Amino acid sequence: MHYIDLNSITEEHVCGHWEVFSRALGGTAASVFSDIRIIEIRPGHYRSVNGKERTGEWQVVREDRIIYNPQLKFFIDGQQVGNAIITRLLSERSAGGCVHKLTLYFSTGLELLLHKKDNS
Amino acid sequence: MNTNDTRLYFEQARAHHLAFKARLRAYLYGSPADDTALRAPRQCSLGKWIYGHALPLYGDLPGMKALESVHNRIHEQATELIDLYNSGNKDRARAGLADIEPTAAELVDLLTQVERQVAGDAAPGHSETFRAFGELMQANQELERTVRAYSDAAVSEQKTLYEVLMQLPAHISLLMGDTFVFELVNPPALAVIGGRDVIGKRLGEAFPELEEQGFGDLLMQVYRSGEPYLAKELPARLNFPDGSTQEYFVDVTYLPFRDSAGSIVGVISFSYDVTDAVRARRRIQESEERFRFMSDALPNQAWTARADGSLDYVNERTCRYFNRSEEEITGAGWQHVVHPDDLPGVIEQWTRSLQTLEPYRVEFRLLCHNGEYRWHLGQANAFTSSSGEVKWYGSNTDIHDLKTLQDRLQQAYDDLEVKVRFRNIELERLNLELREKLDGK
Repeated sequence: MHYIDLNSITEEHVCGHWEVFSRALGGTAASVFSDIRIIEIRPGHYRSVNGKERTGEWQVVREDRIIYNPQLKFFIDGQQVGNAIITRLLSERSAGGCVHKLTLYFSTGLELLLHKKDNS
Repeated sequence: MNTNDTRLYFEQARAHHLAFKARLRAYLYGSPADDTALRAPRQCSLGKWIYGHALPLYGDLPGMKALESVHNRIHEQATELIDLYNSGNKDRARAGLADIEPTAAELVDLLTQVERQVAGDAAPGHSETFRAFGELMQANQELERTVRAYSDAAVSEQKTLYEVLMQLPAHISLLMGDTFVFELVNPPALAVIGGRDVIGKRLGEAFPELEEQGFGDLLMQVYRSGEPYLAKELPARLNFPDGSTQEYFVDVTYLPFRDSAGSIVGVISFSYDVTDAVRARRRIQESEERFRFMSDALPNQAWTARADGSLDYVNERTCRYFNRSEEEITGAGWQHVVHPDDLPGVIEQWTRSLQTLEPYRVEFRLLCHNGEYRWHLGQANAFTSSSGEVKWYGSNTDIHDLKTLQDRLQQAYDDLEVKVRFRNIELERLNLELREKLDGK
């Protein structure tokens, strides 16, 4: 098990085919991410699947005055639809290969634990 | 015989006479002695000289008859004094010593007179016989001295050997014949058997219980084969006249005992009472067994280590946990199951405790038999025995679940702070947007 330092997280770490492993609905406000099963993140773009597909743009934002964690902002047609901080990113080696685990905490209170296998 | 030989010959006679007077004086002053040689003229040394040597050689010389007569007289006087002394008239007897002196002087004069006559005798045949006799006598005396010296040495050696045997802390018995009759038992062996009289008795008669326990067979084996028998910590039970029974443990050596012709005539038994040592060791063994039983029943890994830090025992649970044998884990084998990242810190802490004897306490990961590293709390305390020997008693407790939970709680706590800040920022942003909307209306 290997935690990746939040300050050294790059877009490469974020890109990939992520499956929702678990979710915690901490807030009351529903969002486009509340019920997604898959989110595929490519440089500049993402595609989320929850029965129907949604596509949009994303970017990494860093600020070091209040929050040190990298923030991911999601947009659809230029409109921000989600803002999340990365609380954890770790890699685990097992017999089946390497699994990456990404924890996103959204401003709505939603928390998603995403898994992706290596080279996905 | 030349002049010197003659002189020496008669000097010897004079010395015998002086010795006689000294022995008589000693007797009358209380020194215990056989008085035969003081009473009988033929039994004293001078008498033997006169009757054994001088009279056969010089009986024809005029002084010899007179010498014999005076010698008889002095013995008569001595006999009277001894009788006086023995009848209780000790002072009178002692005073009588002075009365002997004139007779003694007369005897010495006669010896001198005869000596002169012998020295003046020029007959070659006579002189030849005398010389031969003198040489024979000298050779005889030398032989006597040599025999006496050998005899004294042998007696002394035997006496020393006997004393050594009797004083040795070992139990020594000599059992003769094929019925094993006790001929010798030294004091330590006698002490064990309660001083009972065994000399002259057969083993089966003196100790029927030992016969029953097979000791007779062992002795017979040595007696017949001639091969020594050695055994350590042999249990032996002795019955005592008061009905009590005592169990001993002995290290025994049975050796065949041979006569001067080399034939086996008995068996020598050497034994050492090692009962106390055996019982002490058994107590320690029982204590160790109890410790092992207890430690195997523990839900933790338990172990002990020497003062140098090498493990010398791990309980069964430890072996099961690692699926390794005790031999693989003890010594320094345990280091192979410690997580490589934790090992340097563990060794540092362990070394420090070994040096200071302060309690050892460390959290580290151990490789479980299923390939998983799990967190453990290792603890040990040093025990110093009264002899100064240091022993470490330790345990490893699986704290993996607790440790994981602690880590998660810590993570959750760290995350919570970030989340709160993040939510506050978002709320502020929403608040600002709402205010701008309201202001725009």
